[in-house]
Amino acid sequence: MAAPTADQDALYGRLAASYGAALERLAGGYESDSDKRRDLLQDIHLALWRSLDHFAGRCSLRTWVYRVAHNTAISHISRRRARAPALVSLDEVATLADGGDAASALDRRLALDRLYTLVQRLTVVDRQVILLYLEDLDAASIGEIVGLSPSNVATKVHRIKEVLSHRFHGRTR
Amino acid sequence: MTPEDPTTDLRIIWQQQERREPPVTLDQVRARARRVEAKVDRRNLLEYVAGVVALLIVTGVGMSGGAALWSGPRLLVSVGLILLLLGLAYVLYQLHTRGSWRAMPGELGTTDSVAFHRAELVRQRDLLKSVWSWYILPMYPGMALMAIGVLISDPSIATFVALVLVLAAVMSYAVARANAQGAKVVQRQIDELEADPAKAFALEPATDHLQHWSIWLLKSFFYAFVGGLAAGRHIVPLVPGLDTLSRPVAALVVVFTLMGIGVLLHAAWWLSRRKK
Repeated sequence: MAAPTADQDALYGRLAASYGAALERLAGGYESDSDKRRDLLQDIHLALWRSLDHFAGRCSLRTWVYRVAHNTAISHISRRRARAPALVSLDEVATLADGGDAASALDRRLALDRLYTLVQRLTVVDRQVILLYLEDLDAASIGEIVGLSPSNVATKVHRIKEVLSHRFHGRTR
Repeated sequence: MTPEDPTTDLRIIWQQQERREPPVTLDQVRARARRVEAKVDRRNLLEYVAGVVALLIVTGVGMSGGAALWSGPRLLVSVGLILLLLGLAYVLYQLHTRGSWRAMPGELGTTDSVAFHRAELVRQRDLLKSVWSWYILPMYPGMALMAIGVLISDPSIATFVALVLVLAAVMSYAVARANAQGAKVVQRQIDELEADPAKAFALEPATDHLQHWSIWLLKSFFYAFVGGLAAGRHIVPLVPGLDTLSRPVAALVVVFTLMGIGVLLHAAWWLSRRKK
């Protein structure tokens, strides 16, 4: 691999500053264990830094960052899938008990914990869609990153809203 | 974000959550890159050292046997052994370059997740389907030459040679069958991915498709073969009762024992890494 240039370092610095927090949240969506999450986050940053040499401007930098991050995360979890619990789709997760407590769920921290738990149980594609939705990306951008048609993403986003509303609406305010 | 959207508050909570990790710095990224490269260098060094040791063993056997090993039927055995080692080196090279999940830096950004995952599955399937050409057949020219050379020079151990060849054939079949089944599982995942990408990652994993045990078995077999050849005559007198056996049977016991040790060492190494 060619040595990263100063421009590449500078671009990485800007992207890390802009997307660092989002990448941390993304890593949390794939790994609940703090050590593994930190490991994944560092892998994502390393992959992003190395990838910038190949960025040719054919997509936005935001799309590039999220593609690198999600594809790195896929490789990460694929290496240890044999020990992972079974994943469920959005439709299936709606029927599962969430184990939440209505009173304590008023706490934002608990709401976040429950959100992470839900995200980590989803199949990878559904997980990617919900993670990108939570970051406020539109259906077209999500489709470009995940590889689904915008209409397919829109359907999933609709389902995500239903599931989230059912589980959290009125409890987090 | 519209005010009437019932998930707006959740998205705000999500995006405004406190960071649990300090920001990753460029120095940390560079340090990690150096660690990753050092790990690859160490792994390559280990394989090169193993290769040099194997070559030294072959050379040592050749030197101790004198010119006799490089003429007549013994020449076939010596050349066969070298071919066997070259075949093993080729298999190890293929395993390192094609056998693990790999992601080129450019592909990570240019490919969407579904296409990225599909490309990896296709690569795995093709690797498993072609196991005969890159994993099994490269071992056979060396083995065949050795078997012919041994049979010509010492027909009395034909039974031993036949047993080793049968063992090699059975192992080859088991390896090919296990990997062919792995290829079918991967093909099902590809079909599922094409039919409905959302379900692709929900399939039960096929564990490691390129079965660990098949790699251990084959590598251990060839290390044991080389080890038995180099040190067999020194090992036999050390083990009580072994010298009372006939030469072919004692040789077989040595090879099987070394192979068992090799498999156990591989398994222990794998378990220790799995726990981390």
